[in-house]
Amino acid sequence: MDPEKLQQAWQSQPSGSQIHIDADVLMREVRHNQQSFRVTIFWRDCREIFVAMIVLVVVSLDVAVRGIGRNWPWLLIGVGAAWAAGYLLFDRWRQRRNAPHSEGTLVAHIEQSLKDVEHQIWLLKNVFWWYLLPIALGGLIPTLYFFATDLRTRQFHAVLGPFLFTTGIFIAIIYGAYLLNQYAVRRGLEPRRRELLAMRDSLFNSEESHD
Amino acid sequence: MGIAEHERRFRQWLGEHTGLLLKVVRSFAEAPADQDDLFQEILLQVWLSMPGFREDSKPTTWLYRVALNTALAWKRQEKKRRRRHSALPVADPVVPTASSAGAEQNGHVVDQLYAAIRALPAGKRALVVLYLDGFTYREIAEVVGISESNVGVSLNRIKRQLAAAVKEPGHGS
Repeated sequence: MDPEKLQQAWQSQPSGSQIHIDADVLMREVRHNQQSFRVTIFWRDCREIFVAMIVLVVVSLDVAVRGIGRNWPWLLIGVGAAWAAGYLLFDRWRQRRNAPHSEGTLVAHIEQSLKDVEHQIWLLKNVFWWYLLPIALGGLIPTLYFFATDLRTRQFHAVLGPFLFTTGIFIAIIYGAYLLNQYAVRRGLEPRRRELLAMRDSLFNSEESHD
Repeated sequence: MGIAEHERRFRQWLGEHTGLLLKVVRSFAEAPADQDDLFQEILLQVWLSMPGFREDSKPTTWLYRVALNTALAWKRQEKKRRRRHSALPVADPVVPTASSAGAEQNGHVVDQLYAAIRALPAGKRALVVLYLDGFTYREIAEVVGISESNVGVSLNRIKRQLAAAVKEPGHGS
């Protein structure tokens, strides 16, 4: 069919004034969605703080009950969790300042979205360094410390078993968390990145690629 | 912009340009539930972006930018759907009020056209929606952020694709 006729058919669709809408209802929906949007952002940030705070409180209580004089090194787990949460919040705040604006050009919007996704990929690929390592150190340093102090009073073979067991559990949890993060990159972020690249390329008239 | 002015302008644009938003919605989403979700997402982004609107640009151009950017970023969500409301005009947004045979044929052409647009890559969908609404190559280039020559080359190819995909009424399907 002739492209001009297609244009005519397209433009013959009802405009806003010909479509019946209930503006009050839509207004309420928009306000409701805006509220949900803000609540989601708020709770997502709070979640990180809550998790770190819970770890800190549980560890502190445990140390207080068992005696701070001897068990204080376990507090390092709380410090590690607080560092990880703090870094995540700082990074999110920095990223939010560069969030794409919906009123910019399509190419600018896609490129900013691409930067966001690439940053998320970087963050998860390096999750070991900024998230898992501080927590791991917070757990492994006290384990090693108690292993060394126990050696002064107990037989080597008597302390080696519990030490290896605790260390093994810790490393397994850290490794599991690392694998989960890499899975999220492969499953969610890499496909999104490819999709955005294809979208940008399609605007620049390179090879056709369907999303 | 004060909250009263914000709301007044939003309502005014909603009254005048809902058709434009629904064209974008239908070009990017097929199922009614998806259209509903995308329509609400666009309304939310229009509302949130409104303080950034400058009087030197046309509301339609600005709305197209926001709507197309939102549609390009929008992802179909199977599990998490927004609360639906029967008052949203998305379920059947382009049914003409006149019930003549001509309008029915036109509706059939438009349906085919939407199907052909949705088969295009997302970036190209944005170009074609603007072209079909009568934007010049220069205006399209400004909205999209690419050169006019790029717009021309892309649209020539897309026009051929659409012309082949949409059958004239009476020529079979």
